Amino acid sequence: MTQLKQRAIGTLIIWGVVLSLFIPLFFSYGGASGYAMDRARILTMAVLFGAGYLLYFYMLYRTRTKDGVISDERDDTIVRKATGAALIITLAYIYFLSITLYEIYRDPGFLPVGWMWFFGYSAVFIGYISNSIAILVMDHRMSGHEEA
Amino acid sequence: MKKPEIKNRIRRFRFDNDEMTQQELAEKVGCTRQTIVALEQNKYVPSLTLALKIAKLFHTSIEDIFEIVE
Repeated sequence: MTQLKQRAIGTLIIWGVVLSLFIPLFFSYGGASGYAMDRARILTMAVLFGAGYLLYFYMLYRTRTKDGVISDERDDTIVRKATGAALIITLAYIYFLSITLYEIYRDPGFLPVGWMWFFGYSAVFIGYISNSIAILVMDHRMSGHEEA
Repeated sequence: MKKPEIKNRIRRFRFDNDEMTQQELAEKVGCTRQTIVALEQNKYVPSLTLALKIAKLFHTSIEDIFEIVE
């Protein structure tokens, strides 16, 4: 398995777990309005986010290799295509989330400020997760069956 | 317009050169074994640089190794 694939799987697992913890944490006890006023939940999420980054950098450290060719032009091509795909997915996510919130809160005329936390965190998670999935898909497309 | 397919005879050249392994070829041209695997199964089209390195290693021209299938 290439270093690129190892890191894509690691990134997907780490940020997938953080996202799956963030969603119930955010939507429990009053949703966006409740979250903005609950310092304990804001702090818990900040710790979770920090832990996610610590794990992420630890994973990058563990998957480093000093010997031999670890990345080449095929990896560069995969990363380039995956980054483009992830950018489009993240932009589309932000666009659709914005429009959805606009439609929901159009009549009241204001938006609970807690949604800004959701925007910030979820955009980061979606960016990492979509990039990892795109890398794994591109890698699969550009892979042959290895000889024994 | 349909994208032309690039096929190659890397596998043939490897066997004709003392049954060179994919790993050996990868190390000699500076890429990963996975790239050689993908190349041999026409899942990846190499850059001109890599194609030239492979051709040079086998003492032949690019046209002898790679061909466009319309």
